[in-house]
Amino acid sequence: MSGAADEQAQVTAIIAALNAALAPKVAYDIEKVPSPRTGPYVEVTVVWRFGGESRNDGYVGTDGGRILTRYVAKHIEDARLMRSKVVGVLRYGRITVAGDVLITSRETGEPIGEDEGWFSGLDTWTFTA
Amino acid sequence: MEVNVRHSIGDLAADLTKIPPAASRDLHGVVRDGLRVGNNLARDFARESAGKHGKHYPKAFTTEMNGTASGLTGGGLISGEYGPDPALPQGGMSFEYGSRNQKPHLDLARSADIIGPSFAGEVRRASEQWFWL
Repeated sequence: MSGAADEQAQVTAIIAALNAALAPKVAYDIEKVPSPRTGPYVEVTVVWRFGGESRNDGYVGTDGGRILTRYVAKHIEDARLMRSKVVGVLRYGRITVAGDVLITSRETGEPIGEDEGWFSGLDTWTFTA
Repeated sequence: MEVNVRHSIGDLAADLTKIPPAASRDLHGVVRDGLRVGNNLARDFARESAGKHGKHYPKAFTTEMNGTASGLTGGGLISGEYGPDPALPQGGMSFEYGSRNQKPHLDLARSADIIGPSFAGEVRRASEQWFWL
């Protein structure tokens, strides 16, 4: 990553890109999902990936980021609809952040299923800048 | 000046037939080592992240070879997997990706970020030796 944009700016840009496709705008950073939760929402987690050695020797190999998008709804069709919109943004996505372009692609996912009385499913994506 | 021909095309053919079983043996070792190291990494991450309510979760991490390769011909698939075994206590818990009420821990994903590039390097290094048997 070039470091031109700080981490929070990247998270903000990713969530803005998702909300541009979702109507209503229901994608939230993982700490900011409204409580109590009444309607469908997409919980977004962004973490940075560091390859290379696992010991603290200062070496950093490949790096980039990972995005998790969890689709949560009381009705399964709402979860599926949110998933299809998010996939449209991130499958081969390009998100601009302060001059950097984050290039996203799908990594893996879990099917939408029952989750403590609601329905939820998840996709993970990796990105580089 | 003279030219000495030491090997013929028949020798090359004989060398090439030695490669598949050597490749199978070497790559089994690479995969097995990768599973062990990856599993150890993931288990260490799990020990940090699971907390008191997941105290059995790290002990559920195991490895398993599951490919179809033939030791005789060298053909087939050499593969394995590592991670929490749902048949063991707490092995089926949703720590990796979380749930609607639990944040993701990503222990396996973090281990893959480390083991992935080194595994690719080990496969390449193994293959470089086969033509010098």
